[in-house]
Amino acid sequence: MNKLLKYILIILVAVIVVGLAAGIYLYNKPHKNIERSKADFKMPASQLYNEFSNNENTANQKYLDKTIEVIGIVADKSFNDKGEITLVLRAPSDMSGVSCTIDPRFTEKAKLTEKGKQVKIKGTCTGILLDVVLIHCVIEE
Amino acid sequence: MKSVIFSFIFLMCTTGLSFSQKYIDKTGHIWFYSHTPVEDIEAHNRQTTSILDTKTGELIFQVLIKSFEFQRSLMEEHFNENYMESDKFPKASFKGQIINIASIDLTKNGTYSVDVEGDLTIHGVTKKISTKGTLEVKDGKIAGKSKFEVIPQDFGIQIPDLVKDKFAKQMDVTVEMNYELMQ
Repeated sequence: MNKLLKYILIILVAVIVVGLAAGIYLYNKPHKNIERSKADFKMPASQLYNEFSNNENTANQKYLDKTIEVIGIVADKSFNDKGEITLVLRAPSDMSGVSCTIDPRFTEKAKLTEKGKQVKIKGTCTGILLDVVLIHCVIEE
Repeated sequence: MKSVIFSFIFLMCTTGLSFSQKYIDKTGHIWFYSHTPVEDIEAHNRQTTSILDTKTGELIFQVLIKSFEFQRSLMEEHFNENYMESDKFPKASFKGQIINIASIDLTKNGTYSVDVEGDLTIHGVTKKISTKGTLEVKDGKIAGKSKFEVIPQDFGIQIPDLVKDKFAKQMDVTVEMNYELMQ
């Protein structure tokens, strides 16, 4: 009888420890690492923009939260109030395109890119305002 | 003579057009903050898009819900999936007016207090709000700031009893924009 109680106790403690560990892990779960995650879609920036401007709902269903790799020409480069760089890839005009907020780890690389240059950028799609927005972006080349 | 008058009218019209001044910011900063003894919650969105018409006082804001960044990814997940339902309602917006626009001159450098009124749409629910803010004009650029409170329940956002202690009744929302003349 004592033996049985001991087993039950051990199992109980094990369950609690595993539960706690899982809880702590979940609570501190790291953000998605874009650099290491594989792109769900690869396309020219203009194609992504066109799909959103043709049918926003369909594009939302297809692309929201997905990792997307886009290629395009830099139309604008700006800094936000945190010092992060946002590169806008033109598609189809300078007025609208794909806006990519660059992950701080890639700020130095982003500083080197100039307007008119072609870049390949990977980021998470959050939707469309005036531009299609990608966040946590890394510069591939 | 006729042609002179005509060109004069034409000139009036075109300069009139160029006076309709629209300012834009596509990387504005909106954040919210909730404080309770149990937990502080804070999230930032630096892809806020806004257009300000300095002539009519018309003011538009749009944010993507999924662009809000939290310190903890679990909070971000809950915010999107459980509370804001961002797959269903990917955007929040404000469309309104600076109601005292006639009494301020935004072509001159200076800091101006503004009263703003309009429709705030969050989670698919639209409500009228009014708030105060400041516009600081400096060499053709305009920095806009405002602070207001949002009560999640007003917008049909349900917070389960189990985690109610973690959320303040009101969220403090702060807006900071840096407008440039729209090309």
